[in-house]
Amino acid sequence: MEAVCDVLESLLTEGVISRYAIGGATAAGFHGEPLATRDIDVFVFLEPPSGSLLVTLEPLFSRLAALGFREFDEEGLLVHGFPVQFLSASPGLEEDAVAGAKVLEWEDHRIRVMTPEYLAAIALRVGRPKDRARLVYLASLPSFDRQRFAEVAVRHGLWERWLEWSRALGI
Amino acid sequence: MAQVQLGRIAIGLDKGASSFINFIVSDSLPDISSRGMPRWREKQRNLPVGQKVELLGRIILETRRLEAVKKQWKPSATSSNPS
Repeated sequence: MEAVCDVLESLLTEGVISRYAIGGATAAGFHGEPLATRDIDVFVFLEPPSGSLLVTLEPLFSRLAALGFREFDEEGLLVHGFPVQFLSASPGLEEDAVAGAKVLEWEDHRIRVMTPEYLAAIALRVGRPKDRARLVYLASLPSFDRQRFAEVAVRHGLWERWLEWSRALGI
Repeated sequence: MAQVQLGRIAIGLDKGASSFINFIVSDSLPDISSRGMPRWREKQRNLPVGQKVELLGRIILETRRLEAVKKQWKPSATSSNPS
């Protein structure tokens, strides 16, 4: 897993991606106790090729293939044995979440992880049953900043849904 | 025995004293922290980053291994499950 973090940081250093952040259940596990999950969701900022307005993951996958990572397991590319789903961060909430990622460092390693408040807002937007469970989990964390979450929810038009969910879920 | 009786009185007076009661009647720390969370969960929440990265990695690999078990499972010839 440490090696995956190193690969992500090297992609950033090389300019293959301009920003990234780990999201989903893996990110939630960084802020609390680790949750069961089968892959690592990585949201990335990509620059469109010159002369094009369309963003493509092709340069990213080309670079990863050059590093020896060519095998897929369902939607995830296997990087040092871990399935990594690379997702282009959509404008608005996901881009803000990536831009506001928390940088965690240990020894000579570094990783960028979405904050609990943005993870909660994304769960609120996506709205699957498992996102409701994730929202309850995130909101229960001592590090969860309700004021910051409220600001994110209002900014991205999610406040009414939050009021509805928080009443229904008792959070 | 005096400690147990003291514990029972404390429960009746104040529910918030339950963790204190556990300490009195037991030589070991309670399995549940004062926030009602198992201690292993609380410990994992507070792991240093490097250890958390390692644990996350192990959980991902183990989750995939269990999925593979589920996918490959077939009832045994001696299974008596009517369904």
